[in-house]
Amino acid sequence: MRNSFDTQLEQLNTQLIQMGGLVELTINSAVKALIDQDTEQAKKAILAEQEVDHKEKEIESLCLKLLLQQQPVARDLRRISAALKMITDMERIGDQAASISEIVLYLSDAPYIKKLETIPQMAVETIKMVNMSIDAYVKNDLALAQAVVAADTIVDDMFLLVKSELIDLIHKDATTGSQAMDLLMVAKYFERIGDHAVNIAEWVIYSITGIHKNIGPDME
Amino acid sequence: MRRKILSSMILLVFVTVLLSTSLLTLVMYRQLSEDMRREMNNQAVYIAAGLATEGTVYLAGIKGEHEDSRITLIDSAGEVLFDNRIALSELDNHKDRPEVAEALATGRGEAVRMSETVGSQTYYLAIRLPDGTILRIASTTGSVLAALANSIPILILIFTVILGLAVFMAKFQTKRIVAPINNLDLENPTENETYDELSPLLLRIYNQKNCIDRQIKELQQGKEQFEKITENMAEGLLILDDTGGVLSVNKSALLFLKAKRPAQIGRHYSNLNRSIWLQKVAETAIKGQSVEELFTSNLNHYQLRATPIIEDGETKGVIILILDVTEKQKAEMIRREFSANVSHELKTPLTAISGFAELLKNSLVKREDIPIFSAKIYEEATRMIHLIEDVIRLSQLDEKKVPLAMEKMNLLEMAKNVGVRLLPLADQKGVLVSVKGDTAYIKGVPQLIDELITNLCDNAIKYNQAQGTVSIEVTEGKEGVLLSVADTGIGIPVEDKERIFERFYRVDKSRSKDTGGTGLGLSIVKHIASYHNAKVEIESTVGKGTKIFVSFPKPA
Repeated sequence: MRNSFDTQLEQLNTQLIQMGGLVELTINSAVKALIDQDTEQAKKAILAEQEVDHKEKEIESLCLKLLLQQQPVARDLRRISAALKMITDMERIGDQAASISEIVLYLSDAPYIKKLETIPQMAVETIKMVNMSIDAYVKNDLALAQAVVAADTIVDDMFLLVKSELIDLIHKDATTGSQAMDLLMVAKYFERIGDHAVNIAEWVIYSITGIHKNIGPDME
Repeated sequence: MRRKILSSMILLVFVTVLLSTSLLTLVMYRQLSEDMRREMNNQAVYIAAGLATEGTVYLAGIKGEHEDSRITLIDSAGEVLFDNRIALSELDNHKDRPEVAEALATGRGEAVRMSETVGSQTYYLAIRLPDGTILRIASTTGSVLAALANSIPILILIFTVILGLAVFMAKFQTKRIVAPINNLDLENPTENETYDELSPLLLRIYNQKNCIDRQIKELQQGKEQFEKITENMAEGLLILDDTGGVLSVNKSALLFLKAKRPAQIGRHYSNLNRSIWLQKVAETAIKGQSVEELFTSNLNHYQLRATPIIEDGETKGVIILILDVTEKQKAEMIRREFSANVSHELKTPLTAISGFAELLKNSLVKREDIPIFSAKIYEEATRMIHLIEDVIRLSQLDEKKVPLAMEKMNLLEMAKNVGVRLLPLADQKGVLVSVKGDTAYIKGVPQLIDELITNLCDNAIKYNQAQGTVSIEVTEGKEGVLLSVADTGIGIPVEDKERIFERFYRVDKSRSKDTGGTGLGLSIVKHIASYHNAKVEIESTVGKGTKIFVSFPKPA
């Protein structure tokens, strides 16, 4: 019985890592699509997002099965409940990336109103955060998870920068307004992806230490 | 073992004590009743003697004397004449008591009767006195059962003491027996001095141990050999079990997957790398299908080949080979670009030739213009021949298949020859060419070195300004011989510096036509230099001029 429990836990771990890989693929494709105005990549990202959704359902049912059938305690329970929360955030990241891709498809007819500078930097930063948060889970690395939480301010600051840049642009030329709004949305999505990465990192911290920022020390 | 010895010892003690005590009690009891009977007999004799001398008066005197025994005198009719315990009025006729009846008949009678209260019995001895009366003596003792019951407390005491002793002994003894077994040196089973009974076992252990040692060694050797071979492979090798657990991964694979060596065998490959391409390949192979795919990660191109290991129709594992094909892809791209460029470069003169020839064929050219058209055709054909010669030379240098021998030669003299040969071209452009320096020898292929210098000078003249200069210098240094060609020409922008040695690359695309060249000159220079192990460096300022250095190693 124990043995099968361990097998299932390992399976959960594997599935989570694979979902992480899928999420990374989605966001990477979305960013490539955005920077090169590449509609193929945008479509790829939207397709990958569907797979992310599918994977979420799969992991969710595995988690519930584990909780009901094995009644885990302590560290195992934390790991499973953290996984259950993490997949929600991962799925949201997938959604945001797909939304970015949809905007890219929508904007693909016209060139950008300005050369994208801060948004690609934001993209790089958020990809890094997502990578780090999943790595932190894979390697059970507390320091890495904490680094993700710390990195969030960078992305937040970049969002404010993009916002003021776009406002300047609209001031100069009101006709850019429509695309500027879309680009603002893109930046906001990246900012949200960063937030979800932080959430993932916080659940990793909880799974390791038993302490979550919002729920206090674990009763053990 | 200890517990078994202890429990059997306790059982033994229990049985022994119980059996011996009961037997002993029985024997003692018999002895005791024998004694009692004898004593009663003696008593009877005494009393009979007393009665004979003193008569019934004697009986009154012994009333208190024989308290242990009951003495009764009975006449021949069975009437009790005297009893030292019970009043005569309470006693009935004793004639039919077995011992009395027996004594009346034979002169002596004995009987044993259990009393009303269990646990005691009474012995009766009756003798017939000479006057015909019967003297009966009775004595009550405990029964065998009572005697046994009486001995129970002492039995328990003895049992406890012996048991205590036995436990102590058992422990001690067990320890002594077990100690040599515990101290057996199983590393060297045959060197033990212990019970003879253990020898066959030890010998067997010895043989098995040897066998296991040998097998472990063989496995270890096999594993080490496998690791040594795979570790040094340039290809990445990843071996998975049927669930995707990593069984083996070599250094190159870890490098390609950007992963650390896993701490334990059998963890899922996703822990190494979670890329979708790896998942795709691995999962397909686990399902039993071979796959081969190309993937790009960052700037590197990898080729993945996954093969399932199938036994009895079931996938037992998967072998994944990862090849870094970045260089191959790059070379492939260069080759593709090159052939596209060559075709393009060949097409230009051919189009011209074909056009002129068509005009001539259709007699659309005036007779006096024919020499001009023929000259143009000749010119373009020559250009094509040059181009093809260059391409052939390049491919020879690429393959390092130059059909010419290396020899020692004077670099300065060769530079001077080139200078003289290019004089007409220089004059035509109004450029002054000077050659100076030390007489220095290098080892090389004269035709190639000549071509190298010619190409450099040719460029220096062509891309020069009117009234400019080209100075060729040969200097001999400690490390080698340095050839420098400096011009006062248009110069090369920084961003193009890296690319001017590429085939068909031109800094100023618009001027390519009037200067004539094939676009392969500098590429040939670079190849010739590397064929001679020489290095090419470039210093250039836009608008001021370019200086190219070729440093040859000293001839051995």
